[in-house]
Amino acid sequence: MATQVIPVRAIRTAAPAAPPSPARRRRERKRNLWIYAFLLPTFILYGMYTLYPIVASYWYSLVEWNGFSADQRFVGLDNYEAVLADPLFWSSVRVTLLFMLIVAPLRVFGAFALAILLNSPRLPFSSFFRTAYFLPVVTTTAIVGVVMRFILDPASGPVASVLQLFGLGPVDLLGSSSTALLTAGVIYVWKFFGITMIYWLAALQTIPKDLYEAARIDGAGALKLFRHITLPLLIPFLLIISVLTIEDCFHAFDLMQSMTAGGPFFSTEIIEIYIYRWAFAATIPQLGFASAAAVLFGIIVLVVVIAQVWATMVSRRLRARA
Amino acid sequence: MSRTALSRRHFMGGVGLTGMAGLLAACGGESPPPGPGGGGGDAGALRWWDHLGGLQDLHDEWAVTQGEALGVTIEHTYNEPGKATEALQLANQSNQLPDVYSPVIGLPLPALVEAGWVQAMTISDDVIARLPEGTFVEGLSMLDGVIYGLPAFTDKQYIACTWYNAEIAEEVGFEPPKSYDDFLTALRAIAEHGEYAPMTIALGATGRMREQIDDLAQAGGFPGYMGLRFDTGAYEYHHDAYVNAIELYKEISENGWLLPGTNGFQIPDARGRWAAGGIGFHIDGPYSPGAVRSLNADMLPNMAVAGMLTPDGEDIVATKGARGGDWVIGGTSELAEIASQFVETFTQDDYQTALATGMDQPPLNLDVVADADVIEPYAWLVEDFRARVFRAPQPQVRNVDVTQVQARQAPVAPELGNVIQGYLGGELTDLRAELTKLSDAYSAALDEAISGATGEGANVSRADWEFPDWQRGVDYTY
Repeated sequence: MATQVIPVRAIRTAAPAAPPSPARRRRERKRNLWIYAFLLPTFILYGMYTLYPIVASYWYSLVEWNGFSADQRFVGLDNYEAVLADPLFWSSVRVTLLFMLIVAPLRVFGAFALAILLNSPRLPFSSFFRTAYFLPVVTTTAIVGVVMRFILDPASGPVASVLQLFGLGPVDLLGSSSTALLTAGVIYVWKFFGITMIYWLAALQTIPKDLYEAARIDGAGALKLFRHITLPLLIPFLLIISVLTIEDCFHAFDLMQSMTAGGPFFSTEIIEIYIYRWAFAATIPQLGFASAAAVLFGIIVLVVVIAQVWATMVSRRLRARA
Repeated sequence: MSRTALSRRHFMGGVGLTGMAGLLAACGGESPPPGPGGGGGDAGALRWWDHLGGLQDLHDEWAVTQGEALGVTIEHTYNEPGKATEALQLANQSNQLPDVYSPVIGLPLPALVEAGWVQAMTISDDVIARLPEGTFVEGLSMLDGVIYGLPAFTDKQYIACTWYNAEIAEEVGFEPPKSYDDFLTALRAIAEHGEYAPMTIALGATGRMREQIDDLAQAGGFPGYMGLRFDTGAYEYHHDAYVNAIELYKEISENGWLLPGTNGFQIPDARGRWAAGGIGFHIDGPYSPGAVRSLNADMLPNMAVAGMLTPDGEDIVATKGARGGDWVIGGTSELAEIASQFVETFTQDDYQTALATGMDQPPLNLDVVADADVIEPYAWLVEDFRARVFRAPQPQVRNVDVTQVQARQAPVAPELGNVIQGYLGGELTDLRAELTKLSDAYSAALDEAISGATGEGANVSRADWEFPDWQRGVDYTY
């Protein structure tokens, strides 16, 4: 069944509305007042804990400051020059991008496959499975990191015990630079898989059931239903979910810090840990330098946000056409 | 629905209004001013923070007993080491520094005084008289004769102590190692025995690895500390003594003698495994027994120590600088007088004895260790420190302007601990080249800091780091 989309602009121009009466205007003003009253706490908290730190970090990136004293020396763009000249900054950029390339496809496509399965009306206990897969999302990330270190302990962890049953020697998955990032990535995917799964489940609910019924009447099997109905109608969501997930993958500080702290030898040092190391873990904190790195990181994320906005626009267009 | 009934919208509106009122009440209005001791806690109470994990029970008790004696409530708070610096930063920025605290801040004393982190303390002549000579050092714990900090522990200690499990030693049959070869022989014997893991260290804790290798390199003949030569004032991490010490760890790692997982171990990980038994060796500081006791007291009787390794089993010669203040009085404290009296209590024999009994870092007064309830290896180690650790020259003691350079000197990354981890993990292959790069990086950072400090009027040069008259095995005097 096709849905006719009537452009909003057409409705507006078709019947010009009469000017609202003073009483209606008063009611609207009162209603709007309530809206702003409810938004006010969010504005205040957002301003205090998000906007102010962002603006402050731009200022700090232009000064040399250790955070211990009030003495801030203005150094212009020196901090940016120093960050860009630091091979470990570029190493952290590389690790961050590599991490994103490992985990984003696993989250997007793995969660998609699982959502398809969990959305099937024939699957028994689907609510139980949905809850089970979502459970890691609501578990404290730092606790997950600590527990995973015990689970993967090559000397006495359960993974080591299983490997020993098969005669395999101890494998230090988090302690070896060749496996640490991949291992952390897999744990990250397990931890945050549920969010992407919920996105997909929500997207699947938007497909009208009568489309499937009509196709079945026409003799379409499960594969054809998936190929010709599910997939085309989910493509607009794929764009948004991918961009949201990619953006999310830039924020893995708590899990990575609790599991590897960026080691061994910087092999899991994502940009957030790089910033933290200079801002808080250095003997004499370098808050200006760290802020410059944070601003550069913000620019990278901004590029992704722009891509997100673009993807949303494209997706709306595609949905409108569908 | 009747107009008097509560609609959902009105209910939500009411809840929102109440919430708003609550929020505004919390944000605005007048709040009571912080007590004389700073923000939080009972008004008039003396607030005391420290980061010494192994001494928390002692300090909780000390706060109660000394509070009663001094007639003040003492609120003792454990400032967890991992967050201690950040906690102090936040406290300082919100004008809530504790009255007495352990200053885990990387700034030299003059910078702390100038920034208002600390204030002068009054230590009576009687108290000074019972402390070891040279406890208070200009530029480190006092400025122009005014005392700003009290050292809590002795500077006579090294931290690369070779702790071993005496039960395993007896079963496997190895002697306490003195030289690198002795050590490798003992580790091989444990590995061949097959029942125990030969060794673990906190390889993931790069700061701790740096300290251990700094100590081993010094005992191995490096004429300086932390890569900086005392005689020439030049950085020389690529000295043979450093290379040999790191190669020793490399050989141990490549032979598979480290407990699996050691590569990523932080200090509690390594120490926890060692305290559980079943591991032959653990290189750790003198504070190991105190930490082990809190983890597994049954392990204490099995702990033995073989001092510090030297390449060919030579006598240990360690050189350490004087300590700065381990206890300071908060710059904003209004209880400075009573805080000073409280700080003085840390010099009492009963506190020093209790400190020794805690088997953390050895106390300021080493004489009390003999009468304290400590394990025999700890007492032996303290005697070894007394005989083998000498006073190092420190540029900031000779020229206080050096502290302006130290306050500006940017950290270097990768640092020595990272290089060790990278070399043992195989990410770095040419050790000497990496150490040479490290020396160059530190040297450049020092030069840049000197240049910045002199630009702001400090009278300082690289010559301030040179002590050509320094002699190994002799306490340095100025």
